[in-house]
Amino acid sequence: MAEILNVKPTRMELLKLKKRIKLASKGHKLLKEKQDALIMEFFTIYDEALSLRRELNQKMVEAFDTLRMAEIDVGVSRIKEIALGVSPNKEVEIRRRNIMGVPVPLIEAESFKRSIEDRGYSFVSTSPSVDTAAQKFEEVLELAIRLAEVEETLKRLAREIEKTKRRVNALEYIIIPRMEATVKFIEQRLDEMERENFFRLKRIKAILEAKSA
Amino acid sequence: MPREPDEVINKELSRINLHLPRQKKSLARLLEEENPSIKLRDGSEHHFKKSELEFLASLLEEEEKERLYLPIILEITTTWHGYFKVRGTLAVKVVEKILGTYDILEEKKELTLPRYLLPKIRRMLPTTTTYAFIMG
Repeated sequence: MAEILNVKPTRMELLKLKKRIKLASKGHKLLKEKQDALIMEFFTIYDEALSLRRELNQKMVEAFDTLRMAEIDVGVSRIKEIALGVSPNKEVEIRRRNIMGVPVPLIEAESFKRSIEDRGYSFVSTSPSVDTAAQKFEEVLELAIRLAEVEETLKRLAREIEKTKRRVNALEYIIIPRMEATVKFIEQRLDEMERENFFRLKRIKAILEAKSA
Repeated sequence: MPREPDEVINKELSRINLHLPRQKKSLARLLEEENPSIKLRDGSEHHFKKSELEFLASLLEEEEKERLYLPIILEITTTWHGYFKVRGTLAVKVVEKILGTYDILEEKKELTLPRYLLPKIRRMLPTTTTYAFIMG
């Protein structure tokens, strides 16, 4: 049986407790709705993360294949030299959005694909295979950024689901049963007091009748 | 220090809708902003995806952009378990167009839909829709 709260067994406390149970049940229902919505949201984003991860893995394979071809074409050390000359790509601005009280990142980056001139290396001393490799890695970068946003969102949602679940369970298995057990205890105690009172009155009546007789 | 259960419940209930906007903004206004965003009840900012705003604009007539206020609120009430509600003619129109149930001859002010349709809407409009939890 659940523990009982430390309250006086009075009618006033009983009324108060009944009100508290009502509030706790409403709170429990609402939190459960939130938990369901969070789980639904989590799985919606999870599907997206899965397909993005698959796409990214495929793009990575393609990108490394093209890089290998470029290395064969111009040589490993020349590729390293070219890489040093590449100008940095666009910066990413991370904003915020909110999902049911969970702040999650929002990255709305434009395309990271650049023209050969924008990349910054001389295309006279390189070969088309280097350009293809660069292009493939730009595609990888774009996907990786999208995946980073989605996976971070998933992590934060999972943490919130855990927190909400803990609260729902505390209400369902500890707080509400404890209050209900206390209500039962107070009701039993009040009944007992009423019975005692009734018996006492009966006794007094009997004594008074015996005296008058 | 252990807190009273009532205190915990009250805090949770007051916290549950803090992600709702302090003030909604029209789609037309958001489309003009450099960084389209709104302030939430908890004081934080919520940013919208520009691509999403443009998608919404493509679903509506020119004059309707002034009248659609964002974010669209998806109401979840404890009395209607398994369902959610959308209020407002234009919000309903947008949701119906996404679900493919829009009928030009019918103008609804509110819509009650089964909860399993939520992912479809949220996948299309992740930043321009938000949940509200209402105690029935």
